[in-house]
Amino acid sequence: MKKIIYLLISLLATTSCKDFLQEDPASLMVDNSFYKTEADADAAIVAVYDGLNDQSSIFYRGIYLLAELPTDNAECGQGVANANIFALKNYTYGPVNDRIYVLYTAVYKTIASANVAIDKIPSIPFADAKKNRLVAEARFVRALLYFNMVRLFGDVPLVLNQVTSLDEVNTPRTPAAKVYEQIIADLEFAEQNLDATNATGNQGRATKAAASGLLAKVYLTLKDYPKARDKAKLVLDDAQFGLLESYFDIFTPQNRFNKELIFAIQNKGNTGTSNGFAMALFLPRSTIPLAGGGTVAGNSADVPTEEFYNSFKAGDLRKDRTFFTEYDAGGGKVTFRPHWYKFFDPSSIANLSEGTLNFPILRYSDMLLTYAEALNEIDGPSAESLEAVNKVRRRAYGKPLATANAAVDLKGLTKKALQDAILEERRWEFGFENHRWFDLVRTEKLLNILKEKGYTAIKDYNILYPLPQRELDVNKNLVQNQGYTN
Amino acid sequence: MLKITLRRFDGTGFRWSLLLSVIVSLYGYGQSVTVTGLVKSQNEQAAIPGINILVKNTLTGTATDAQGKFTINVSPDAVLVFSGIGFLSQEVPVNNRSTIDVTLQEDTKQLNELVVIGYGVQKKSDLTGSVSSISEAQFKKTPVASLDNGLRGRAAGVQVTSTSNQPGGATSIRIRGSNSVNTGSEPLYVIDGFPVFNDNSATAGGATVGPKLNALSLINPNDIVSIEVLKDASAAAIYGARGANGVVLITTKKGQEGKMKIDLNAYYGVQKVSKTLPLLNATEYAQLVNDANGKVIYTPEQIASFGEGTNWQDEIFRSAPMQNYQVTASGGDAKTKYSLSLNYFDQAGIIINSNFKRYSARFNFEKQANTKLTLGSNLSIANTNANQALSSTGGGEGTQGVIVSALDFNPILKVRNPDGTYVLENDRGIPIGNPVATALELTNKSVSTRFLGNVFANYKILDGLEFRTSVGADITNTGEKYYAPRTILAGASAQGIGRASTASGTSWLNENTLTYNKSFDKHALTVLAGFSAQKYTRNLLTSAASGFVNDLLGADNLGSGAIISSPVTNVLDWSLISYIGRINYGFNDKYLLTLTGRADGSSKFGNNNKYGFFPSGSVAWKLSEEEFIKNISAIDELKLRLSYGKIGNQEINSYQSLAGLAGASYIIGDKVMKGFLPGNISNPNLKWETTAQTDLGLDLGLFRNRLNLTFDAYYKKTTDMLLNINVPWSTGFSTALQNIGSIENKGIELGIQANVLTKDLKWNINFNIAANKNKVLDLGPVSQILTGEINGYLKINDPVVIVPGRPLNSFYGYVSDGIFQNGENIAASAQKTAVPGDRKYKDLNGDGVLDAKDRTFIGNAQPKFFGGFTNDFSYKGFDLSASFNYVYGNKILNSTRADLDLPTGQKNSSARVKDRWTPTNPSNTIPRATLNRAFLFSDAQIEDGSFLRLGSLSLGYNFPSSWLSKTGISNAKLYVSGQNLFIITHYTGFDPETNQSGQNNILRGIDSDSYPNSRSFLVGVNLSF
Repeated sequence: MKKIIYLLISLLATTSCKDFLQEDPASLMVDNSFYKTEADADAAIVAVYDGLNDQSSIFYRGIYLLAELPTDNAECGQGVANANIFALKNYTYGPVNDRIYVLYTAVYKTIASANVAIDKIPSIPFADAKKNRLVAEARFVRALLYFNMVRLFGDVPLVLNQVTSLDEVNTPRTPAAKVYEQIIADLEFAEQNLDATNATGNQGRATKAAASGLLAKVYLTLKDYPKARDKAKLVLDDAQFGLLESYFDIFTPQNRFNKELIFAIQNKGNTGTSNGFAMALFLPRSTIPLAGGGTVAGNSADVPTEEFYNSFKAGDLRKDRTFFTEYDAGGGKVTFRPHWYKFFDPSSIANLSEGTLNFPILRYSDMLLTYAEALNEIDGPSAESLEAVNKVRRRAYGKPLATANAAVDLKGLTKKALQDAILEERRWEFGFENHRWFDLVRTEKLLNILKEKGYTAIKDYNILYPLPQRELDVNKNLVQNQGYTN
Repeated sequence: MLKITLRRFDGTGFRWSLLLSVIVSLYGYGQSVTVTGLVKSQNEQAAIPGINILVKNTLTGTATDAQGKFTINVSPDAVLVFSGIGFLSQEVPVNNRSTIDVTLQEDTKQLNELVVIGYGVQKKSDLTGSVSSISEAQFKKTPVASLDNGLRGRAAGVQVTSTSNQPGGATSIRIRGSNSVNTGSEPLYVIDGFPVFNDNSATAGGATVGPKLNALSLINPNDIVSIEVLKDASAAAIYGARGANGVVLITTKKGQEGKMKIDLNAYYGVQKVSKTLPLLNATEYAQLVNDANGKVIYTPEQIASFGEGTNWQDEIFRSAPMQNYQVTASGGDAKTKYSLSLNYFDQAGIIINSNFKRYSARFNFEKQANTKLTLGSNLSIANTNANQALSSTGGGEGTQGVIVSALDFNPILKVRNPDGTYVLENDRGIPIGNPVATALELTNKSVSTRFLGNVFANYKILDGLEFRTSVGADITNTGEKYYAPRTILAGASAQGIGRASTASGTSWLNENTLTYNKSFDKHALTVLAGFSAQKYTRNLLTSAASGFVNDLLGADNLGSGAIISSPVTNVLDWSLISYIGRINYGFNDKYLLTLTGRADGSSKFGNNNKYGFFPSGSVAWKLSEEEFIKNISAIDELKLRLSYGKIGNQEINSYQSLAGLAGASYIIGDKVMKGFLPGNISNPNLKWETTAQTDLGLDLGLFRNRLNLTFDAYYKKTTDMLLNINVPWSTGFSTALQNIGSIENKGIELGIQANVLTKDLKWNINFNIAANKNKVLDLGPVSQILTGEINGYLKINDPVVIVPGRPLNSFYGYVSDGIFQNGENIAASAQKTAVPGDRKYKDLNGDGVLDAKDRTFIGNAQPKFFGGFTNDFSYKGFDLSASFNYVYGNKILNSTRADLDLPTGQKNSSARVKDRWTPTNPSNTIPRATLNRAFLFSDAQIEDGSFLRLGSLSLGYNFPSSWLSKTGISNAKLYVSGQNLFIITHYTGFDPETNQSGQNNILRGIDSDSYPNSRSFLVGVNLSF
């Protein structure tokens, strides 16, 4: 027996306990073993794009609740349960608002993914050209997100590298002008290094035109109209892109890659990817019978205002693409109040979270109207600026694009009238695409237009959203936007 | 032997068997006599049951029955040794007598019973640490489904809270308060030497919805003979990095030497919900709807026709039977001891279509192979089968639990449509599924199997030096199935949603200890040294599908769903290597010293900090052995104890020190591409939390030990807390796990055991009380920890805030100030947009604006003191026992009430809403009816959670052995018992003992539509053959 004990003791002394205690997670990827190969670099970029594709946080509903709902375009439907959403609509929101918080957190999470890719990819050994392209994709997404952030919140913490240490986390707000400088730098790098055309198998990635187009919008927001004009022109002249004949077809699932989409978030149902669309939020509630029994499980949470619905002029084909008031899902036709229709995929009517439809971020018509707006701001109305708007209008009314049409074309407007006309055109063109709040703030008309329409609670400082209170609590270097007392 | 046993079942054959055994004895030992007799106590002259009678120098023996009588076959020249707890042993030569009546003298040094400590046993009188013992008799006063429930109110400083009262439901236990914010704070359970951290979510697969089942319910509580709770650092340090939350040592039944004894225990009972909540009836609800909408939704004619409507609580609750059958065969001889038990436990839930069943078996065996070597095993296997009622709260939209649905559902609606189909959902604003349909049609089922056992060898190397090695395994396997059919709201739109999961965990343990025991002169020394290695691996597989053609296959054939979700597999493992040492030294039986140390290496921590050393030391002074105390006749025992030590807590998930990546997938080129993004910031310095504890204790026995007191005062400080510190989101992360901050607990505990009456009528009192004060001392760089949203409907944000200087579980919100009345100057108030009938809040900072800055601390979920007391009476064969437990001074966030008191008309409300504010009813408690459910969390939702509960009351009768002598039954007891017979409390919810967030440390004392408690009555019988 003594021998056994000695044996045991010597065993204990020699067995490497270090190995026994080493963690080697079987089902968890860890940083140390990743970012080593070209495939890892590809996967890092996939994650960056994936950050954009989320039902509730960044695009889709995240931005809808901040940029569509608090405008004259939309209101809370009967399915809205969250008091914070009512607060956004009613301009009673404050720093403790879970929807503002959700967007803020998701944006920074995706910026962090982009930062890691930007930091790590250069040292992974593979072809420089592709490396630069991947870094440019990450920088494009980072710019896209910071552009939203700076417009929604003004000065924001500008983080450009992976955070690896807990010592330097309390980043203060960077002045908006500096944030814009970085956005421009990122987009210029992207413009240089992105592919001009996505090769087969790469559709959906950002391209040079996406970077130029976004730069045009950035410059328009900065009121640097000549640069906005030039960048927009660059895209307008790119033969890959143009207006579709039919407004309706821009948003059909079959037509997910069309020449009007300069950059869109990729989205495909029943693929196991966390899917962008939650159609239940905007479809009518339990009223549309399904062929196999039951009803479409809509929730009527996000609905347009009747005023927006009625604002469309007769003959404007965009109206019936933006909204619907009746539907037959195979179980008989029913009618209902106006609901959003644009991002509706009839093939997933029975499974509303699995829609297949790309979410447009930059459209050709946006470039036309950006171009027109820049030109008008520089020189006032001109044939060229009017033509850009009129192309959009002709398509909207189903007229030949290249042929002047007296019935729909704008003419003889003053600079101010054209400003108003472009803003109105943008409203009709981009309904449910979450441009309205940005457009109203950029044109400095948010307060006037909403007050005119009975939004009595809106205050001057509502042209920026408050930083989430949680961020101020954690990071003492942050200062709240003026007007918001937590 | 077999033949004899068989005949002993035959009542009339009893004497024959006796004769036969006499004959066997004659063959075996030569001449033999049958001795009968009565054992009485000297002081009280009362019969004493349970006295052990051993033939000296053998392991043959018997025990006295309930009437103090015994029968034993011995050789005429044998010497009988009579012994029992509380009495001095006495040796009596048989001298050929057939009747021997014995009077035993009470032992004033009562503390000589053995108690189990980690890796050994010790005389209670030699303890230097703080250990609470719970005997089998005490533990079994209340029939319980799982052993943790049996601890309730039994030991000072041990607070047991149900997290769900569903059958098989879990508890959360805190010993001397919460030591931690994030790290698991449940005690370590050591079952026959096998350490088990009871993490109910680790053993669950994740397919089912609702509160997790209790993994401890797979341990049959009927097998337990003693429970020891190690509370201070001296006692618990032997469990090192896992001891900081206290340790519960469970010992299961071992065989006793003697003839095979068969025990049969059975009970059958009925449970009913102990309380329902008063709600609006259909008529009252219809009026509320009209008021809230400000227009006529229901016409007066309609309202007149509604009457009471549907009482949804009555529809889902029922009288539910419960039953338990246990048979134990145990016995042994001088070299072999065995105990075999089988158990069947079946508890129906008080919610329709919910139940819990357990089948279990245990075999404990020990064989002395030769004079040096003993081999043995403790093996148990159990299978449980639970149909869980969906009792989670579902928030504002979507799937909601049966209870919350029953409270919220429109009482005007019926359970079924005229065509017999279910009414699918609530028709007023908020979609709520029909609770009856959910209860009856939803599958939410869990089947678990657990094998827990070890085999061991004990080898006596030298006199006093023993080596013990053991190998054990704890293997759990849980299969869960969930299916929401199209007939209920949860599955209607998706045409059926099914999920299935399997979680299998294996924990291997090898322990090796050397124990050296030596007494010389006035010195007594015990030295323990050991090594232990444990490894745990858990595999998880979950899959889900929806879109079924019909509801026939459901979760049993997920492949038949049209939409298949990606399957999830997950592997989790951890390992622990430990070196153990302990020295117990006693001088002159007066001065006692214990030094304990354990070095633990844990895989869970960062590369820079894998190992930790946890030392403790304690001293005790038996004052009663000193001459100046010995002269005081009233004092029998007096001992002072002092201990100090550091113990650890490692209960975090694995891999937390590493920079893990999270998966992503995105469509590029119309194909799914997989990606990875950072999931957390790495922390190579991550290590265990350390709790340093000082304990000062006093044990006092008075008046021939009729009154025993145990008093302890302690101070605990936990440092290097493992905190998920909120970091700014600009980092891309929400939190980072760091060793930061400290927390303290200090408190006092008093246990009193009194034998008030000891003659024919006996009256014993067991009383305990404990007060613990908890305070967060430091959170490092953060000024506060926010806790997120708790109520999906009302969006109550950060109702609990953790700040230094305050205890954990402090509620944070507005202070309500009644209701705005007509004519009040609202414009001058801080709520300028309010209208009469709105709730008014105090503008605490006086800035004229009501905003988040006006929130303050409005109560704490931790009690000021808590405990329990038991009164046991016995007279002749009757015994009566009443066990109470109580909690005082805690607050509950009644989230259920917050919902129910809000008069929106979108769902049903409490009966209190009848008194809502209207221009003609200037209520100051319930605001006006409005569809708006904007809500501020305030003290109006905080309630006092104090209570006193009669946990169990039982009356039993022990049949006298004279009646039984012809039946083959040696002991028979019949009893009736009632559980939760009454509760005194101001709490308005179902039950103040509630903890919806399970084992969570932060969100405690929150009642959100939890499974209600029941009241039960049962009748039982215990038979021994």
